[in-house]
Amino acid sequence: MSRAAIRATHALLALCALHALFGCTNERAFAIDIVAAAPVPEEVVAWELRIAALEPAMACPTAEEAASAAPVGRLAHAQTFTDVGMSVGEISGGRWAFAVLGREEGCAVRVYGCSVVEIGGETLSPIAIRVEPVAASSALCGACRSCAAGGCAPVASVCP
Amino acid sequence: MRARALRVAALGFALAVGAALALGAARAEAQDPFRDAERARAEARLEEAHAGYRAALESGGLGLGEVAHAHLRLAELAFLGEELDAAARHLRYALALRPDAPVADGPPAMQDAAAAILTERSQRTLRAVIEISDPSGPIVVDVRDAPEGLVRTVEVRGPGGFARTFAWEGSPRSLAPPLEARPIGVRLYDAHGNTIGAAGEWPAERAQVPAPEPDVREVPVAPHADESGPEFFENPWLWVAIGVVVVLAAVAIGFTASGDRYVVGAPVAP
Repeated sequence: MSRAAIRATHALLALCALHALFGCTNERAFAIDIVAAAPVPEEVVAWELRIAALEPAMACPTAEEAASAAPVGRLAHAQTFTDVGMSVGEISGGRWAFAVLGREEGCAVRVYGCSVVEIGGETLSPIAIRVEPVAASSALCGACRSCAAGGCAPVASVCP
Repeated sequence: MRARALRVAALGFALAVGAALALGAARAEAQDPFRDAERARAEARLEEAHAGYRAALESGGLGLGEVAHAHLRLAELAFLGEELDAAARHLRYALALRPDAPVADGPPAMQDAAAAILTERSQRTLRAVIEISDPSGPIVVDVRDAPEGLVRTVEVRGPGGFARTFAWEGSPRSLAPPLEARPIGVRLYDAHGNTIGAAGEWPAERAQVPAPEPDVREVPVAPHADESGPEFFENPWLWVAIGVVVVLAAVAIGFTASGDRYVVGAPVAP
């Protein structure tokens, strides 16, 4: 092998070392902790979780906005569950709104909570969302969704 | 250079085959959750056998037949230890899952108890039932012929991410999945998350995307300019160039994928 080839090999080894030093991935897992500020009414039969990316100046959606799937931020995940939901999965770093709605059979919202969380290296797990009773609300599922047994379908919609 | 590359490739292949064989052996052992318990039972180490069957049951992830087998063995051990309440419970669970469970291997007291249970249950098997009266109307999810305490959780799923999970409290549950979430599937789980019953059509975990048809075209083969010349693969600069490309690609992928990944778990109702 010529000197040039040997030098090329050394350069490659140096690159590999750099890769080993800096090219690693660190996975951080966050649990979601939904805390009820008051006893949850028995009429609540289903829960809806909505996760949206927020611009720096944006705040959580109101209960009415979240209930009717209004466009607040960029919706990244939504699900309806009863006791235990599905794993949300991977999200990118940044500013996120975690909104939780407790709905009765006819989809009226009885409890609501929302937390703005900066996902990053300093974020602590679990992500706590405190839900509180909501005064009588007229918002149901929004114009683009229909209600079935306390769940709004399709759940991951944004109604204009 | 080519011989060296071939030796490296052969070594890598041998290592891969060795790793695959070791992994296969480990999997084969892991596939029998009752191996140690069965051995302990055969050698009359009854406490160890009991602990083994309990551990297999509590690990979750067993199928219906395996759960029935574990309960039958636990019933047999409980009869031998004269723990009659536990024995009756395990036997009732085993026969609800498999009325044809091989009770003849057990002690006489177990055979008598099994005959009484089967007379009472009339060979009925635990089953999940989906009642649909109107294709677009609500459905009713029911569990039939379940001994008390065996079914703990019912999971209902349909296409498009429709999912409901509820604790089984002994009475049918009405649900109204949207049209796009049908047909639905139901699964029953015991206290440890083992699957002990199912009904309907469970949605596929992941959509199957058909592979694209290969674009096969006939390419004319150019004749070799000089058949007797030096082989292309013997050029050392070729291997250096391939190495450069591979390492740069690895570095690029590594830097692209590096950094923190944030994974959020499942929400639980308060």
